[in-house]
Amino acid sequence: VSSSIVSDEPLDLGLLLIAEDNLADVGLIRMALERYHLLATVHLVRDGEAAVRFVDQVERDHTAACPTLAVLDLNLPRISGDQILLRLRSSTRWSDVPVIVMSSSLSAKDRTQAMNSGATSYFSKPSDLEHFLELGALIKDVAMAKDLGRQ
Amino acid sequence: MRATNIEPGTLMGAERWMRPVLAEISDGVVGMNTDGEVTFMNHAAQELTGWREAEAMGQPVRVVFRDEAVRDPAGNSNVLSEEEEAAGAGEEQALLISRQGSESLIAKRCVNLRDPQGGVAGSVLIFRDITGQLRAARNQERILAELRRANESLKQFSYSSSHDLQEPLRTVAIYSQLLSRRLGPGADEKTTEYLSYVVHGARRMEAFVKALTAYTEAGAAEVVSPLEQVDCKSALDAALASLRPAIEDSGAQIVTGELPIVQAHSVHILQLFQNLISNAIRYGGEKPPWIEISANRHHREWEFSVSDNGIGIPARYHSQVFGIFTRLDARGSPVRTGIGLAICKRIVERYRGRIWVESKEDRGSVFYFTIPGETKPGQTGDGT
Repeated sequence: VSSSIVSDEPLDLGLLLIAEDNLADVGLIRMALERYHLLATVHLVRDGEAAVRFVDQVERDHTAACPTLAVLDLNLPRISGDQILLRLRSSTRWSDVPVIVMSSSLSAKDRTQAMNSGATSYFSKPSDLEHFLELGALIKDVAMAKDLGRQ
Repeated sequence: MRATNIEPGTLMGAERWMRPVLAEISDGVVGMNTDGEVTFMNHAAQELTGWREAEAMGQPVRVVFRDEAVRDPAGNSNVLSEEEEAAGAGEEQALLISRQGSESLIAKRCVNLRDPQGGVAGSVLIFRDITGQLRAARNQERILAELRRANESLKQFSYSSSHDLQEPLRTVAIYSQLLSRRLGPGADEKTTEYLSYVVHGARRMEAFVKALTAYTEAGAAEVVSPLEQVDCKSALDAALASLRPAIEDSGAQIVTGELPIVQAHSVHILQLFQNLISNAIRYGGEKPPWIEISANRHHREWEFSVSDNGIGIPARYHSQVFGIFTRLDARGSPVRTGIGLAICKRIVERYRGRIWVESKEDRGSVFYFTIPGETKPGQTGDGT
């Protein structure tokens, strides 16, 4: 469900952090970006520790580019997406980077918890291709809302 | 000189003929006079205290009957007060220490003996060994704790399986979709057919996992949020809104009586209505469904009913329909899991209510459920 204007005009997101261990889902996220003509330089991390390392590195090194948006899977190996989110929100450089939390979970609790931990939006991964690709619309909405907020 | 108020020929006489009876019963019996001296001990009492009657006679009862208890009738007061006796002076538990030092847990009571004038003539201690009973109770507690643990890990299992099964299933479903799309119309018939089985299998499995998750969450013992005042009418309206397409497609008529406000979680009441009404529509007969929802107050609970004019349920299936994954129709659409009524049962039982069905084949069904406890009448009336 998206309110984004359907447009073929490509939108450049800049640096996009994707924290996702399942390559099948990474493929789908890329397809979703493509579907909505979203261009991005993707930084992919495939477990919680790698995510934390990247977050800390960007936090320390001010010359390093900070992603404009993050797509974070809740069920990451080693360190959960929830903990990564809390770390992002307590840092300075990441504190207002929009974060879309994704999960295969069907539990409403996970959504509430993610939103309480500072997620910008929550995406419950569907098992239908077309529905999954709507993640692109959500990413676009979140990115555009962020830009509007800046102006 | 030792005072005695035992009248010869009355109490003593009675004691004489009761002696053989008392001697043989399995409870321990110790008789004493008003000075608290032992006048009688039966076999069981001798065994439990380790004292022989001959040695115990005339001894202070607190020497013979050594126990540790909250209130000790053999200690400071060897006769019961009037109030205690009137109140029946219930049984109490105590630890009895025998002459040899062994301990046994006993249940004991003390009864006053009265002479014909109504005066206290002495008292009798009656006690029995409950060590075995206590062990059984402890055992039961242990089993309950184990059950609770098992329940907890089952919940954990089903929560993580909903997570862990969901993800690969989703991948299978989506990538087989992608595969069939890639193959396009050029694919041969068999390939298309096989792929459609993969997609359907994954979908069906997913529906089961979803249903299991819903079932587990419906009964989760820990209350995430406190109970709220649920306006059942609003919950019903929300349920009807979510069922609108099915209601419109079937041409179902929904009739609603007055509904109360109950202490519950609104999502649970909504789920109850949703599951029961969607069942009523699904198992409608030839005619458009006619569904009536009402509530009646019975004593300390509200009894809700959802009745329909559908195909009904043969009596032999009435208890089965609330089972998990029970479906009475043929294997059909892949999204049907037959868990709706099991979820209803779990929700209702969570509130210590009951759910049952009254139905005859081809005569429609009435599903009843009760929500007991602190209920309040609805704004518009008491619903009767």
